[in-house]
Amino acid sequence: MRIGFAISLVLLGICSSAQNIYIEVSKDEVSVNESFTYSIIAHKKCEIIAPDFESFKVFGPNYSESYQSNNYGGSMQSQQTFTYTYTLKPTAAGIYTIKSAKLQCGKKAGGESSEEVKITVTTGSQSTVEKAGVAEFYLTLESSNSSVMQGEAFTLSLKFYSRKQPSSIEGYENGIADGLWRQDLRKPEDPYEMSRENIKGTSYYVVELRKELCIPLRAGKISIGPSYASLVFQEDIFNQYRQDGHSNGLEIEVLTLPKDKPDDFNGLVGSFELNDNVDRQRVSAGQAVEVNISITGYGNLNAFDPPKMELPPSFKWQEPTYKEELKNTSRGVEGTVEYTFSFTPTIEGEYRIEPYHFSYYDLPAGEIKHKTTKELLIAVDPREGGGVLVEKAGSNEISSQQTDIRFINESESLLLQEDDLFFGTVAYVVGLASPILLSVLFVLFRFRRENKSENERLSERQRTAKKIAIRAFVTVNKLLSEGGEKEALKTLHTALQQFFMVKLNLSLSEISLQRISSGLKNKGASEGSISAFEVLWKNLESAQFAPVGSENLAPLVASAGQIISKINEELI
Amino acid sequence: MTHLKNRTLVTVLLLWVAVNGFSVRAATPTLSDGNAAYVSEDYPRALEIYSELIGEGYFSAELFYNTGNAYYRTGDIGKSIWAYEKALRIDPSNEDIQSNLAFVNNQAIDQIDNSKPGVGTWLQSVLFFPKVNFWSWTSLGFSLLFALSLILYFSAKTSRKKSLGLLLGGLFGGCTLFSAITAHQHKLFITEHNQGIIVADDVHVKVSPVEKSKDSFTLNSGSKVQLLGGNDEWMQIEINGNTGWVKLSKVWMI
Repeated sequence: MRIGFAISLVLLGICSSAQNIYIEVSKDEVSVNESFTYSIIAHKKCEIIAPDFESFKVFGPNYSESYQSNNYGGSMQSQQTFTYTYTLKPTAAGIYTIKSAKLQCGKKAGGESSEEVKITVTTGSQSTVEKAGVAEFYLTLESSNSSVMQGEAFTLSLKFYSRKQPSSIEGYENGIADGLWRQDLRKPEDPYEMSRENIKGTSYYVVELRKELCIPLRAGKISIGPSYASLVFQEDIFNQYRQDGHSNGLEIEVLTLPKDKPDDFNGLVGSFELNDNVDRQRVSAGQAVEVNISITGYGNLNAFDPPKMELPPSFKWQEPTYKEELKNTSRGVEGTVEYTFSFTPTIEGEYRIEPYHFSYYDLPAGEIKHKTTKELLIAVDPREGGGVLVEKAGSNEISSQQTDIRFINESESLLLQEDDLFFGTVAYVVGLASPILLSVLFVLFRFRRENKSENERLSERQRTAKKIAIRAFVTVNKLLSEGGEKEALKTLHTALQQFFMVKLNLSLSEISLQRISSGLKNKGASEGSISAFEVLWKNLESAQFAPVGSENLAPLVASAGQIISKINEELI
Repeated sequence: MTHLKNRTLVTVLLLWVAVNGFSVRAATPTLSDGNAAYVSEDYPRALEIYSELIGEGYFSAELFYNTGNAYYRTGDIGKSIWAYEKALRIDPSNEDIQSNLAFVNNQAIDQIDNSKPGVGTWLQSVLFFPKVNFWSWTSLGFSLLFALSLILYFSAKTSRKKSLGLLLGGLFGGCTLFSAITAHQHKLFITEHNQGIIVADDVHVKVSPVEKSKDSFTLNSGSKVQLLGGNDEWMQIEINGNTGWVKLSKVWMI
């Protein structure tokens, strides 16, 4: 909470209960542009007639009411207070008398009046000068120049002076100024630097609270109001106290720029250099050209207007890209701004592009100077591949110029109908799925075949045993016709052995007449078939020891075929 | 008896002539007929033939391209743009179609840039440049190769052959899936009507599908719009973020 220099002037004996209107002011001595409060306090709810506040800027009033009740020796006394508070700001130095305020109750002429108030307004510097070397604490606002050109940069410095070392800075507020572009040169993260100065034999701690870059935007006198600052001091190990106050105000004389300004002068003040660069000056139609224009220097570079290039109508162009490297210094806005133009010639030819130029007020020279880029000549060759480029209305597109549409396609193409679109048809789905399904079936079949049980394998072999035997009998007959009786007999014997091994699930060592006969009986073969088999088997055994002619062997083979067929049918 | 036979013969002959004559009159003209009319600069006749073919449900890039030319020659920019857009759906990389479409677009009153360059458009031009059934047949081929790879994998006796089968199976399976999806997208690209061309000038796009509704904005012949849906009389359209309703007869679906 700000503790001001609350100089409460009780101008009319406030102890006097008869006084119903009086004035309180926060200060009776202020600097130009320094605010103070003027309060009209009344104890009756009547009409208040405020005085004219000539030579002051007036803000308000703010209205408040309060009620107070006291017990004096057993009797209650109450009082109501009505307060109208104005904030006043003097605009010029001098001694001013603010006339009485009036309290008008009813229609009765006259009414009560307050006392007049005398306010002494000093120029800031005057009060600061008076405080320097005397006051415990004071603030100063200093300017690097008291007189500048319009657009010329200068700096403002707000410093505080204190006999005691402050423990912290609570805050500060800039004084109001119209027509001034202001930027803080101090970065927020920069620490405050404290130094010691000897002012009129008194040692002060000095801190620069703020340093501002200022650029006046208009000519004439510019008033800069007092700045406010609040600092905290350590009173003892446990207690702190706060001191705040206003600095002096300032008046800056801003001089007008020379009247005979050229047309391309846009208010730039400072010192500048203009550079330009083009990436190529001979291109084919349709190829882009880039031109860089950069301005380097210091001054009010922030007020620089983007350059414009007058391009031939057949050039297509885009808004220039902008790049800046600027910083605020005590000389102004310093650095480089760069504009890159990109344009595309569309028609062949030689083109001259007017140079870009601007004027500015050169501070070191104290005169207006002129800067211009080089004249730009662009040679545009015909487009690669021939043809002329034309622009598409309303856009930056370039398209190959045609004078007419291309001719129809006379090829005998196949006309399709929606049914001809193969995707999604039944044939397509079948065609897509069948290879996959077949492969899956193949895999399943193979898997099944590889994983058959012994019984399944036996059953399968039993099913095919007759076929194998019959096939062997064909071989036997062939051998007989070729005269190989011995071989035929052996093959026939082997075929019968194989047949019964499979059918009766016997091993080769188990093959014998008795075993086969009992096996056939167990499997349900008829007695006749068994008897026929036994005769056949015996005949075969005897034929192995006694040579048999082919004429005798052939009926044997035939009867073997019949017996096997019959037994195959009878076996379960 | 002979007289009766002669009468029957005459009747049969007359019937044959009548039927044959009728079939000659009813035969659909061919694209060549339209082209011949165009070459002889009978553009209305060429347009009539092309339109008849389109009405019969036929389509091809050449048919729509030639139709676009015929519309242009008869001075109908909007319908010409419609036909070129249709042709471009079937053959997106055809330079003749692109060139004529750009040329005719330049002559449209509304120069609205609603092109959407991006990966999708690029993919369309890359994937949909072959003939309409290319991807369908390709997917069948890959399906067969995939099946053979499966057989190789399951019947292989050595681990090396199994690995080869697995690798080829994965490759051809992926190719089958990709080509089948592309075939589906290609068919959709040709048959799906999600865009349209305004085919009349000074078309008042309404806020709602009612004749007395307020105008939202106005479009001219040749403007390409997105179709959002509609009813028997009105179609809701969208162009560069603006939506509204137009009469169905004023917008032709691509």
